[in-house]
Amino acid sequence: MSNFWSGWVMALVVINYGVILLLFLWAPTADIPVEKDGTTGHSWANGTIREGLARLPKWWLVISTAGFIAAFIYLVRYPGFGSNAGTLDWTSNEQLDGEVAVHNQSMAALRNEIEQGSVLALGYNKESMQLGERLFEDNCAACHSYDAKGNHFVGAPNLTDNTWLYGGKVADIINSITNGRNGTMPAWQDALGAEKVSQVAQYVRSLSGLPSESALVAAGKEVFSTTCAACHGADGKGNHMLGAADLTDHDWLYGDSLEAVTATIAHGRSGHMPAWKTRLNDSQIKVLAAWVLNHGNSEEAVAAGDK
Amino acid sequence: MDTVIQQPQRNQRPGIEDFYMKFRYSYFEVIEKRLWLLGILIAIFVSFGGLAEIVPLFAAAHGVKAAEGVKPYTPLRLAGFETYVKSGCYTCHSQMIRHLGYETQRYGAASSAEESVFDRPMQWGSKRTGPDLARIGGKYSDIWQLEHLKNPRNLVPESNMPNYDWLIDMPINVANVQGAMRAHQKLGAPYTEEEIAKAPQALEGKSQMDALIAYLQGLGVDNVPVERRPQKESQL
Repeated sequence: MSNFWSGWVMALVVINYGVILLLFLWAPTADIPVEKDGTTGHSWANGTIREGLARLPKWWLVISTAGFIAAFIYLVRYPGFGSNAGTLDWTSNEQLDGEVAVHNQSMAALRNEIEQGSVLALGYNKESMQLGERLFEDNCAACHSYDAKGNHFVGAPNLTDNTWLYGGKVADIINSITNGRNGTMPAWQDALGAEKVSQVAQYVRSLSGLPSESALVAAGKEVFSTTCAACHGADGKGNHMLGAADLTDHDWLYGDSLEAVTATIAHGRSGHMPAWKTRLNDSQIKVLAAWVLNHGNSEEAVAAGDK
Repeated sequence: MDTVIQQPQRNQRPGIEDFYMKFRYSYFEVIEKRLWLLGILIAIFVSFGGLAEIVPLFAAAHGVKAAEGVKPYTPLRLAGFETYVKSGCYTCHSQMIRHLGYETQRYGAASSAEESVFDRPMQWGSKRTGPDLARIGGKYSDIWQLEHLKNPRNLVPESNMPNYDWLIDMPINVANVQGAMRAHQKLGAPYTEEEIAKAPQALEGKSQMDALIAYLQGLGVDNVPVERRPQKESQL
């Protein structure tokens, strides 16, 4: 703040306080002229309403004086009087650093546990699961929803089952959170034409036992084996390396209706899981992985010998 | 003061004493009986607070320079900024993370003036019906932003945010964006003539929805003040 503006603030503060202080000192002893009838002589409505006199109530004076003194102490201790930094040298950045330090100290034991512990074991730690839930609600629930069951509108997968697009091992999940994922399903409308798209859609639905028209299924199988199998596999079981969905289970990223499946094949999909390494630190990501794997979905991780 | 108010004495001739009293008290009477004067005097006294707290900040604002890495908006993001302001997003969303532990824990590094120098009007705000958006950029995918703007309840069932699906059909007024770039240029944003001339290319075929998503996806991504960045590591 320049000297001019510092002086400006100081002058205004002094004038304001000066006037108030003068009023405070003068008011109790003020000699107010009173008419013979005990009023001030001010009358309204042709004398029907006349103005009497009364001292300020004590409680009002006490509160005002307290406020006046508190404001004075504040201006001495904190920045406010022009560019005067105040006797406490207080800054909001330092206060924030202090708050963070206190918070970190209170979390130090938990943080240590998280850093030392194994991901699957953290699932049995009540405190780390509370932290995991809070982090999930803050960051993940917007797409995966609060119950972690996913959302068809953005193609966010259900995290509570044992099907994983990119693998369900601990390392896979930590990798998904840390670096994000980009799933791309190409659009086939132009290459295949509407008829073949609808045949494939029927076939794909038949893979998981959904109602389908058998006449179209056979034709769809032909198209599938030459076009879709490259990513989704000949048996339609998907591919973790590519993030190609398993089409034989009941887990549907964008919904299992014929319209949704047809739209996926015709116009493609591009799912995007942001990389969280820019927002979350390693401990937070580890806790999140633990929280996610605490939903009866750790079959693959356990089978792989993860802890 | 315990004074008994007596009956008014009407039609009495004023003596010299009455005249003296009238004279002394007339100062107050002038104010008491003229509401406009009372109003003006109150306004002057109340304005001390604003004069001391707000006016110096106007002057100080001119001295604030862009933080390292903070650049003026690209034409598309500027169009998105205009849509953001026009749609009244600021009535429910602030873009200021306060210096409080629980705020930085949830939203990220605290905001600083240096990162918002190209926001005109600035969008800090203090009204939060929805969450703060200062560092929302990249937190969710583009598709999330699109679906959420179309119908927020598809993604957040309890949301009370209005639908903005109509923005998809709203074309961007290219001349307006170029005009805005020139206005920002006059106010100190380092746009080059070439950038302004190329704006129509950048806006080709884009709707206001695209622009708004581009704007949101860049919020707080590159302009986190360098000295506050390590905070991510320290907080749990």
